[in-house]
Amino acid sequence: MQGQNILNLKSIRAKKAKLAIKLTGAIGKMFIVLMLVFIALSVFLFLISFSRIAFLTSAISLAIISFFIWYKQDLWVLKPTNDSLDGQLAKEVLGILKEGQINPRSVWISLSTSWQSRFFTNRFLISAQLVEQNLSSESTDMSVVWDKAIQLAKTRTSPGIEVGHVVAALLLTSQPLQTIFTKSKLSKEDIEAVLAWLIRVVDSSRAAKPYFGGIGRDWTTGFTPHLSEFGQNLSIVAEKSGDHFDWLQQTSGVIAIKNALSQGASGIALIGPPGIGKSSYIAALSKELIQEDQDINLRHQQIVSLSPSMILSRAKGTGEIEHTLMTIISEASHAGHIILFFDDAQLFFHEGLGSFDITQILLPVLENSNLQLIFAMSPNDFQSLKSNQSAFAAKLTPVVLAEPDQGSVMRVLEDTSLGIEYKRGVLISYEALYETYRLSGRYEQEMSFPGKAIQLLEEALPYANNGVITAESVQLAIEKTRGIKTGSAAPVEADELLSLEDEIHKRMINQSRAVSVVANALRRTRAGVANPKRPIGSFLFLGPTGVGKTELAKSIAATYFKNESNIIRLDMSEYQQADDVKRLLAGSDDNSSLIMSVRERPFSVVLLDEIEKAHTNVLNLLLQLLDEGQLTDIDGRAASFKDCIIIVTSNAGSEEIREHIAKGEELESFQAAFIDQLISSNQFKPELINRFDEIVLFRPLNQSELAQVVGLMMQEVNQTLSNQKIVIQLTDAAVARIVAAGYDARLGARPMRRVLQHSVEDPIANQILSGQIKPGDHVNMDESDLKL
Amino acid sequence: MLALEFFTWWYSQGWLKRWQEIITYAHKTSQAFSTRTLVRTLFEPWRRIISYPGAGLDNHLRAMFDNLFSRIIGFCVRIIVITFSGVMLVFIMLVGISVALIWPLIPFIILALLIKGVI
Repeated sequence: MQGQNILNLKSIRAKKAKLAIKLTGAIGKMFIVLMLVFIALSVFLFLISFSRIAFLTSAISLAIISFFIWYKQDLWVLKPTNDSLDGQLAKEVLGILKEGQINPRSVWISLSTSWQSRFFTNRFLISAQLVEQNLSSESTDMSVVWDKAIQLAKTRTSPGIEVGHVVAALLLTSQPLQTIFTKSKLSKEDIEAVLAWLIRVVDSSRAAKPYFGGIGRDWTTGFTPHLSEFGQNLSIVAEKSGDHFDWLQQTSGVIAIKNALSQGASGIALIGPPGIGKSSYIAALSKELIQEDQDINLRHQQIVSLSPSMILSRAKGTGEIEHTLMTIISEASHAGHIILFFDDAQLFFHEGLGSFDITQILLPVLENSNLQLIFAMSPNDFQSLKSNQSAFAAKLTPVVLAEPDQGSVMRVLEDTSLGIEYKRGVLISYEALYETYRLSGRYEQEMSFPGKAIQLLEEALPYANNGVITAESVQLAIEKTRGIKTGSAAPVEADELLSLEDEIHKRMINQSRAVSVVANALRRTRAGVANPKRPIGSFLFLGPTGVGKTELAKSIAATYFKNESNIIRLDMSEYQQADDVKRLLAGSDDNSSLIMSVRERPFSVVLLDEIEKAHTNVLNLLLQLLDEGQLTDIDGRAASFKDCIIIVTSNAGSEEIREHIAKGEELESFQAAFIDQLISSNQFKPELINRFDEIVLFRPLNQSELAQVVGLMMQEVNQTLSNQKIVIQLTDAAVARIVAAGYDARLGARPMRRVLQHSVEDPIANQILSGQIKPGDHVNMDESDLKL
Repeated sequence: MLALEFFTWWYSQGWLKRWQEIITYAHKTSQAFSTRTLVRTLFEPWRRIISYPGAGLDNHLRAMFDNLFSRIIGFCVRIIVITFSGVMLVFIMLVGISVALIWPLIPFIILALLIKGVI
């Protein structure tokens, strides 16, 4: 291998490459002009019988033509010759390198103007200068680069070493550049992925045009005037549209449809969730079938997609719809080369065509005709068809499309992004594509890959920064459309996170340990340390009533999700029966179900109160939720809880907590033994306890803490009165009196609000109404002013 | 050195390519005119325009005549195109063979033209 790395720029192939590169562009065009001028001159001179000079110019013309043929057929093609380095390098590399010192930096300088080099710098949003500055100028370092380039080319079974291979090798072998890439969250795999993308583009540009059949192709097939009116011929579109998603032809989905068609299946149900790309699979199949090198049964078959809206808009009434459909099917059947494609087939079955049942017409076609039909539908629609039209469904051969893996989704995004860039005049970075894949996978549950990723990429277009779509553009798109922070914490937000305890304590009295435990868990998530496949945080709050469990949940919603109303609260005492699980998992039929609430507000605190009262089935469901970060509704659709904070509260063991605290013990000192006791007394199963990120114990509030609670409640009262510029202030004696009246060992601070309403708010209201208190007044209330 | 490379290519790969091109262009011509498909379907009705016989001898005869007429039309169109593609094929092969035969002489022709122009 080492011997192969000696680059001989004086070899014949290197000289040919240099000459070929010199003749591209302006010089090449001048060369052609010169050739045409000499040919014209020769003809002219012969015509005016100036034959002697005409012979000379003819000789020159013929020489130029000969040279031009050599240039086009040998120099320009310059196929790899042997295993030597200069025998493998593409002319675009070999022809551009200058003799003298060859080192990584000089090679980059030579190649940096190539479009293939710019492909890398554009995708990674790095400047050519930055790459240059971080490449070695030692010629001895070049050997490693060539080794890597050869390895990259062989891995991808490329016939030669392209500019892309060399550029990728330069980026992969430079340690300083690797450090820069790592800081930008890019890995070596990302560089290789962009190389694979680039080589795909290069190969596609060099691929021979497929043969679609010539002028006589359709002379043995019938005319289809009605079908042309109501449908779109996907094969003709594919024939003209180039190589979009051609690689889908090799996927198991297209192969399965093709096999079914080849075996004579009269109807195929193409089953896949929305967004999986059913239409793209059919487009790829259309292009493949219309080509010459096919199974004789399928050769030059054309797929026509029917539009229900078009049929409806032209036909009036059921009778006319029926007649139109019969005509279309008859034409397609008679034409002999048509496969009908019913995209969104459910529209034909029960929506788009009103009360008319299309299966009445299609069933005889499936049974008796040689016309082949493909129906695209979701798994639910197929199930519904099986239930409602079992005879029709039984005639269909199901082809189930699986959700593509990450590699395939990225490939679709890469191909799609080139089209978007061309149409919209933007540049899409590789990081943006990966972020699109990541965020759409996490936040979009309604659609499948790759559709949801493509949708998010398009949503990110308005957030381009100077025409460049970056990872931040994608984050911004998802933040604006779904209302959640997805990126790494911005400086201000980082401060907020660091002072989360202070923020929560503005609304919460004491419970310092509980607040601290929760804040630490949330910081871990925000910093990206926590498992992204589970909810943001899951907490079991244990403690007596009225100690601030719900208040902490609200505070978390207010501080983390910036809105106190982002809380989904369920009283689990309402889910004590085994069948109650269904209510939690109800789909679109019940908007109040847990699943639908989370779909509506995916970024929320889910507060499950009094969990100890729920049925075991509900607890099992909770296990799944905490483990996988998602639940599946009764219709089989998943709902993500990965952006939720799950808070489960329980009063279990309240008396024990109160006793421990009364003895002067700290929460930390008895927490472990307390939890063991809850498990051993069968109040909680160990598997449930272990699923929570934190078990948070709340201590009962003492008199002084309750006084502070009164202070917080008074702040709320004053906030309400601030419109009237009225300020109410309680003396210490008044506060002590309210605490004494509102304190209940069993209910904690819960009765306090009611006492405050009676003792403070009621007399103040009366005085405002009677005019005793006027706007701008500052009112001091003592113990005697309270109405207790 | 490059001049030697030019002549090496001219009398090896370049000349071979001229012969190969005859086959390539012939194949492309055949493809463009769908010759294979047209021969295979020579007697088939034109664009599948056919009549289905109704009851009675008259209708049968009429349908038979209609279908025969459609096949005749189909045959005529196809045979015209096949003939034209055949002519094109012969022309392309003649030109290709001529070029391939003249190819090794071209350097000498250039030399001869130069000499004739100078002297």
